[in-house]
Amino acid sequence: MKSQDIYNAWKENNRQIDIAKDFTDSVMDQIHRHRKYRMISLLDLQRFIEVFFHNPITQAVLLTAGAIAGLARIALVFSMLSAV
Amino acid sequence: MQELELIRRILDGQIEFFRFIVERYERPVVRMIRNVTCDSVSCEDIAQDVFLAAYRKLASFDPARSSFSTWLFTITRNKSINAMKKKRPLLLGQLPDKVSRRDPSYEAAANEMFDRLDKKLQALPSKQRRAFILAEFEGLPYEQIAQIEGTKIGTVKSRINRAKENLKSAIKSFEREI
Repeated sequence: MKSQDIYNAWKENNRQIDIAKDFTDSVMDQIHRHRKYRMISLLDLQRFIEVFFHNPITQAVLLTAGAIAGLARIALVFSMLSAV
Repeated sequence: MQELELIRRILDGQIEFFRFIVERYERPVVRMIRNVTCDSVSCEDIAQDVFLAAYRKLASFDPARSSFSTWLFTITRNKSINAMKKKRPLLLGQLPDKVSRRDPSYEAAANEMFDRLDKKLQALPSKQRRAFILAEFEGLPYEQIAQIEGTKIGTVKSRINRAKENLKSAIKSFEREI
């Protein structure tokens, strides 16, 4: 066998590949698992938001914080006007 | 079905269509990883990571910037490089034996030369080796290799030429010995 033939045979040899028969199935299983996990995470976040905003204590805290912020702004406006 | 149509359907939530993508590219992706990392044991695991990453990033694929195969081979290249960084560097004497993949009808001299070429290839600088593998084993055009490697076509050509010269020197020294 000539050197060039051996070189070509070596290249051809490196092009050969044996892959597990279930390779595609394994990849698809991983993708399904990933998607399921992502959906669970999203559902968890959605559930957290629902629980958080439907809790009466949370609502009271948010309302109080909003009222304090509003009153503070009014007070700031009045103090600026009185300075003028 | 056309690749872009497949991608559109996958992005619409019909993820079973991703199976066609995997079936179309599993061989070149696994082969590229095996040849770049010189690891025939972990190459399928790394390839699974490549396809999972491709699925996760699919929305970021822009057909105006590159073909899908270029995009996928770029992910494959990056995953291969990361896998090699994590791995302990191999000494030449520890290189994996590839004889089992060979045709037993090859004469002993041919097998000896195969071993030398394998070792010479694995000893090449990584950029040269990748360019050579993409051109000679995967049959990709220079332009696509340049996109995958993020470099100019001229640089790719010179890397491949240098790799070929290195391999030819191995052949010549072998010829002198026999």
